[in-house]
Amino acid sequence: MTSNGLIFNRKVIFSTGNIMSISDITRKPSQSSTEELIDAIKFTLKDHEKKPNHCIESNDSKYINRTDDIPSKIKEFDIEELKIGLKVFLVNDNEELLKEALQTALSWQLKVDKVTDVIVSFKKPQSEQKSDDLNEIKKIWILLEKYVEDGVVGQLGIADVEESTFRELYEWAKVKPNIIQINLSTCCVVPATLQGFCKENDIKLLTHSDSSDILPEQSVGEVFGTPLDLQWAVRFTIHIKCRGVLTTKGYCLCIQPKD
Amino acid sequence: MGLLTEGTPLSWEETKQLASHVREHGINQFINIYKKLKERKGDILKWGDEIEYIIVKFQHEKKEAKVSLRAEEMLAILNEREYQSPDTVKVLWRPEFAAYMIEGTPGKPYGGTLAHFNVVESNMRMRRQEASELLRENECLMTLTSFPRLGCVNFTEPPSKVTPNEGGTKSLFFPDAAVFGGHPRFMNLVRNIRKRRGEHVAINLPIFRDKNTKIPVDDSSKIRRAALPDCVYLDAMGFGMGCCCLQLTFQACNIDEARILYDQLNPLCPIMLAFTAASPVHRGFLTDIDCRWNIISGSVDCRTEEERGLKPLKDNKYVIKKSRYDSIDSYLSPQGEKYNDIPLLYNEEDYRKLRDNGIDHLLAQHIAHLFIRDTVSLFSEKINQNDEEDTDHFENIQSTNWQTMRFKPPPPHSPIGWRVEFRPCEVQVTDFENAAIVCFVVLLTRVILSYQLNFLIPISKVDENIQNAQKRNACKEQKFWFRKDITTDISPPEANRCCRGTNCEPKDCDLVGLMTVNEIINGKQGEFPGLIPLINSYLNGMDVDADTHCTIQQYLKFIQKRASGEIHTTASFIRDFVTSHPDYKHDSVVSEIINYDLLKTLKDIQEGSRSCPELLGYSATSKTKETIPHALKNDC
Repeated sequence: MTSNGLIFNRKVIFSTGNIMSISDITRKPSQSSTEELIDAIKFTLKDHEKKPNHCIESNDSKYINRTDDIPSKIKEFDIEELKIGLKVFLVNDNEELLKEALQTALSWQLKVDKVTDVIVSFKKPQSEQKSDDLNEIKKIWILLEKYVEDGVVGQLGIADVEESTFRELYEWAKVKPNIIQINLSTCCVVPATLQGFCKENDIKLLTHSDSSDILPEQSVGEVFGTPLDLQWAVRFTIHIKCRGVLTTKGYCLCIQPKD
Repeated sequence: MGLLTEGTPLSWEETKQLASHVREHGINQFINIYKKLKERKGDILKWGDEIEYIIVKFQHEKKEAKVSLRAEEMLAILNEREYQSPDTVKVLWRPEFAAYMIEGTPGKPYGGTLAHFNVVESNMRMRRQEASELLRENECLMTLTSFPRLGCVNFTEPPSKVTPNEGGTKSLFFPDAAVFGGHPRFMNLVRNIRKRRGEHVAINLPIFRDKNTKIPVDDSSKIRRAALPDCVYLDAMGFGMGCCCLQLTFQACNIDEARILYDQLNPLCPIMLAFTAASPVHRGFLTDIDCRWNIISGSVDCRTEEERGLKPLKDNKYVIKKSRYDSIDSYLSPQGEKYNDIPLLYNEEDYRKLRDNGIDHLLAQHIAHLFIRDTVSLFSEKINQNDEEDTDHFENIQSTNWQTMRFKPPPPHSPIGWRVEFRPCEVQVTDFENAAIVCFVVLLTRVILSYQLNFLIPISKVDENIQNAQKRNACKEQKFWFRKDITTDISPPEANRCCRGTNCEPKDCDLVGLMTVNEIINGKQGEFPGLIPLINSYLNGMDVDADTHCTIQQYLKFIQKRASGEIHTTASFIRDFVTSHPDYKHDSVVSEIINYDLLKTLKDIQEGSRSCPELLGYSATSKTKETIPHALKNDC
């Protein structure tokens, strides 16, 4: 299996670097986050073609990143001045994959010891009217709580869950969710009960405009020229607190040959 | 309108004598501010808006509407509240030029989290409500850029008489009683500007020529040499400074960021002027322009005939291209330097002094250029100053250079940082519109800083745009010079070559293109990304709470629609209203009854008792709140 000179006989992890420095992406602001991610992968692949030796390989995986200066840019600030947020797009409740996703973002891409918050999003293909799987969420949440206890993650959040699921998670969780993320298209019609629950419990009710299936199977095939499985994706964003300036945005993702 | 120093004004003769004193010490004061505060950094985003209001009196039985000269009375009460509880008031009220105007600003600046965008409109409503509680029966506080029949017979309540041969204004149309009398500064400015100029200010607005329009428009051209027959002639400062505008100030994190914002927002001034156009009617006539800008510019134009290049220089030092109220003449950031393509006038000695004190070329020439203006308002108590501590002489000149942008150093001994003021916008009828515009501009500043966008074009092109922006229906019909590729600092080689040269023909300079307001704001497929899509993309990367995002979306949709021409600008709405009014005789005259019906309609729109999709679209409501959610308070 080859694409762009890449051999997909094992797992490949990509880091796109700061896509805000890619003018060609900035010039297309109307793209969805899926389209943006696809573009970002293409730029990462292009960068890799130019410098194929610039990646880290091990027996079972390969790490490809777009050359970037994110860590040095982070160091320009006192870490307390920055808000570093991660949104993890999961395809299942495999804790190892979540670990790998967080490790890639924190240690490889950003090179930071801690992030302000992590929001988790479970894949829910639009075609399937799947309801929330609370057990799946709880399994992942237990691991996320450990990160908070270890001081690696400041706050936790979850995207696109039913109000009842969120309430149950909130009741059950040791480390309560501080954030619920809802789709932008519904931000003007938030149920009053959810509004009230968030207000009572000091929960941030935030918006997003991502598809929970951030990189649909068809797109994976199109980008890499061969059918592959997305294992996880993480979006990282960094902004300067109290100044409303977004400095960094990018993705890490893991692709694997189909079984 | 800037600083209000208390005290006793000097006569023009005394003021004139002290011009070089003010210049010398004003520059020293700036040097001292600069030395103390140039390294100041780490300031967070704080920002605020200023809205000016007109007090309108409806006389329903006569079907007439007047300006009510009660600002002083109302301000006395409003300011007393502020005096009693300066830390808790939610609104600050200030006098403005006219006796029928007041200016309101938020009691505390808004802060650096996005949730603050959701309190702007609520604060604007509170302002309107607070001041409206002091109104008398049939009075209304209105955000009108210009009062349509300003300067017509009996346009004030109580009625007042013009005094063309005596008093301060000496206008054929604008009575002294309509100038705010609660502080001597205003009448003093009127008198000194006229005296410095050596004659009445003169503004000639081309009349909108309808099928029955009479030329000459009126008898002005028989009485005054300066009046043109086919124009609406205005002869008083009040016609300009008696207009209302919407202004914005934001704090930058340091001086360099302030320079960047000052420069980057400059090319947007004409675009926002055209977009907010709201003043097509003056002195009871429908004119061929949509904006107040050139009127104010002319209304405070204190240049002598020599300075305007009409006579050879004898008593004056320079020929000066623009009024002290006009578009800016130079960029301040290193990136902007190569686009400074208009000659900048300044006194070499002043410039030298600034340079010798460690101020870089760009800032030194900017300050020296501001100081080509003489003081036109001086108070006896403020003549002798300690240049180490006081800043009145600097502020004296700074605050009477009324330009599209203002670069503001931190006040000494204050927690306030370097700031930039955005001044081109005309005020809109509703709080929704004003909040939308304010949020749009502040969001743009965040987008500019985040993506490091570059809007710079030769400054001469911005000047050209400022003139085009004021033409009838400019928002829909005019094209403006705008930078084609705003995502990169590197311009094509030919553009670089071209923009270094002095004779830069636009066709050779690939950097800039002609675009409509619609293309600039909404984008053009494959060619220009558009400001709104960029804002949306930025918001996708930020944490925005649901209510705030809902509100911002309503604002951005409104702006998209107005930019695309789907809904009217305020100016085109007023034009349509006038020309389709049953009393309109196709003679460009806006009669008492048309004025009354127009203002009554605008009042109903402002109060929400009348929907107006042609002006506001169908969803001009937001989720604005008085405060930001508690959960978000600790984010900043």
